Amino acid sequence: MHTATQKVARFGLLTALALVLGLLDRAIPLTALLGGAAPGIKLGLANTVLIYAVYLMDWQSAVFLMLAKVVLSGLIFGSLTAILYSLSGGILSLLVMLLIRRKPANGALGAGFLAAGAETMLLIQNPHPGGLRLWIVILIGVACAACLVAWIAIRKGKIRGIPGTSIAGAIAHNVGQVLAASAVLRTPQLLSTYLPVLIGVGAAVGTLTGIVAERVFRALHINPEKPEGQKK
Amino acid sequence: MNRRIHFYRMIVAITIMILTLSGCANQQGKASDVQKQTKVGYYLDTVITLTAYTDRPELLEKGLEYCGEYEKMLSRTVEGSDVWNINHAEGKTVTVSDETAEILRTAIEISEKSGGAFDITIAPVSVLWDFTSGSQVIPEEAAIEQAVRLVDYRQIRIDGNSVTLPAGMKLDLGGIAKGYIADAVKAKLEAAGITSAILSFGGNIVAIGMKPDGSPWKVGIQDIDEPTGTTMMVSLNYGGSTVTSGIYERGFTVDGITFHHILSSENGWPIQNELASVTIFSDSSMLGDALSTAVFALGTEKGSRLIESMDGVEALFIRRDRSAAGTSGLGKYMTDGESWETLEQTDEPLILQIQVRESDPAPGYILIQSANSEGFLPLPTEGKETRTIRQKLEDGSEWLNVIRMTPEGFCMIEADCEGHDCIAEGEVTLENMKDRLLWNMVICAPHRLTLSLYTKEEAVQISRQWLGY
Repeated sequence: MHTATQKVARFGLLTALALVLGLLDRAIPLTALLGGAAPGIKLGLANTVLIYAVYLMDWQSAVFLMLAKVVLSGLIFGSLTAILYSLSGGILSLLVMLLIRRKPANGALGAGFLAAGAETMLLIQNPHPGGLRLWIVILIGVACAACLVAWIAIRKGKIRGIPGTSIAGAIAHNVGQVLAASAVLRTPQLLSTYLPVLIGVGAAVGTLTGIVAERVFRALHINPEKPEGQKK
Repeated sequence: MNRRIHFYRMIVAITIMILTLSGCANQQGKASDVQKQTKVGYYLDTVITLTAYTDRPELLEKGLEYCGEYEKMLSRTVEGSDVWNINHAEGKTVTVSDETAEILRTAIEISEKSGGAFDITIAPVSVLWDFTSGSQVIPEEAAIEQAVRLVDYRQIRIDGNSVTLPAGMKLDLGGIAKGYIADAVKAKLEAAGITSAILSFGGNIVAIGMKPDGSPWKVGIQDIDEPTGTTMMVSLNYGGSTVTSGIYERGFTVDGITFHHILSSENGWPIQNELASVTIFSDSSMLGDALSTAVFALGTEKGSRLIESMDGVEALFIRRDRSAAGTSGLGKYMTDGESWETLEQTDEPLILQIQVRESDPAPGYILIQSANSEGFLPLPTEGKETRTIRQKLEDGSEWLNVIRMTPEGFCMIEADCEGHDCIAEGEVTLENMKDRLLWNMVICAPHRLTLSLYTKEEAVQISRQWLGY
């Protein structure tokens, strides 16, 4: 029962929402809270719109939304290089989320392993971290545990799978961004130095946005496990 | 009587007619014979192009023949040449021609003035490097180190036409001979009556007089990245000579690093400084030839000081970032619309090095990777230093990043990027770099600029990898 008008209206609303949440992401200065030491870190609230699209719309619509969000917010807030980074992150993240939307538990498990790998990498590089690096190591440890808890909870049906998808999407987003950055900057050393940090941070913020999305769906009385496509 | 007058009149008229006709014929003959004539030859590894407005093209052929004769006298590789004889005398005294003796004396004079930055005893090093065959081979570090010990112009002994060089040392007049030959060919053509010509000997350009229409000869200075195009036009307003030494002339590129043919007499490697080319304006092309190499080696600051101390010589510096700078009297050679900065306004140039040696004094190095360059910047041994990293964009605008360095590390203090993430990323020091989230790096993503701090040991390692050891 979807007319073309409804569809257009929904796209418009979701795009606007994504842009506003993107603005909110920019307003919450995670980078500044970390003393500026880790550029490019955002909460990723705008990602909740994409999670909505992944679960409640078809994949073409999700891709369209992602492109609209990346290009528009890039044109409004950022620069061409910024569009390149978020496009690379957006594509990889959406791909991962679309692939695992039916098996979010796997997303949580994979994210847990990646976070554990990142943690190990950081500790190998510097077994006795100090300062901010110590806090990040602790944060990643917590995120890693959260991923595993989410995996168990999803498997047992205690929570819905959204956090799993969200965590995997967030990590994929950061991986995509670092890949683009290291290509543009021609600095492959970013992959070994900064990627672990961003994977860990991705696991942490992915958990947060996943919980937010889960709450939103519950409040809207939407059951993401039964999307409209299947209702028909 | 009438008839007689008539007869005289006829004779006068005919004479006038003949005179007029022959006059016309003369003028026509001149106009068609004085044409632009060009002759091309290949001597001293260089394409030589002689162009003149003359009715006697055979003079240009003569000019090329002179080049051949001088090559036989001055080439390092022609057996029996003066230079070959000196190089193969094993320390014995050799008698040379007046010309060779004159070149050697001028060469030693420029070597003294430049503190050895120009040195004709570079041959043991230059034979190791092959810039012409396209083989792209970097010589062994040890071989260069050994060869560079044989470079010292102070060991040349000249007494009249007798030259003595210690065994093992060798001469290479590549940095001065072309200039001498250019001057000599110019003198011969002038003596033969040519008043308008432009003679090109690779990087050396010599003008005789003006163009036939009275305008000065113009010379284009090459763009760094386009060896066939030009970026800047200069006028040879008073005849005279321009000599350009540039990193694009001969050389090869390995892993993005250009190994060009201007070798340091100090360490035997291609000179890595801020310069892409130096052009010297002078009356004597021989002087200009030697000075262009010397001034290139000295860099903008010391090089311009040397030029300012000499009369009748000017220099144009083109840096790798495509900015141009000139000495005080340069203006009279520039064509309208060309711009260059006066040297007082320049920042201290940013010199990136590709080779880091254990013996260098710097406590650490910043690896600078930008969209179009890559190399190490040494930390100061004491105090604070501020450096500006400029990136010229194709549309003419600039990206600026300013860093402050101490012996411990560095930080970004200014940038015209958006967001200023790079400034917020804070200070990197040899102490804290393992505790930073960005590890040893400061990144300015909008400017595609990455700065990474390395200890000297790490920098030496990376440098060796680049150079293929």
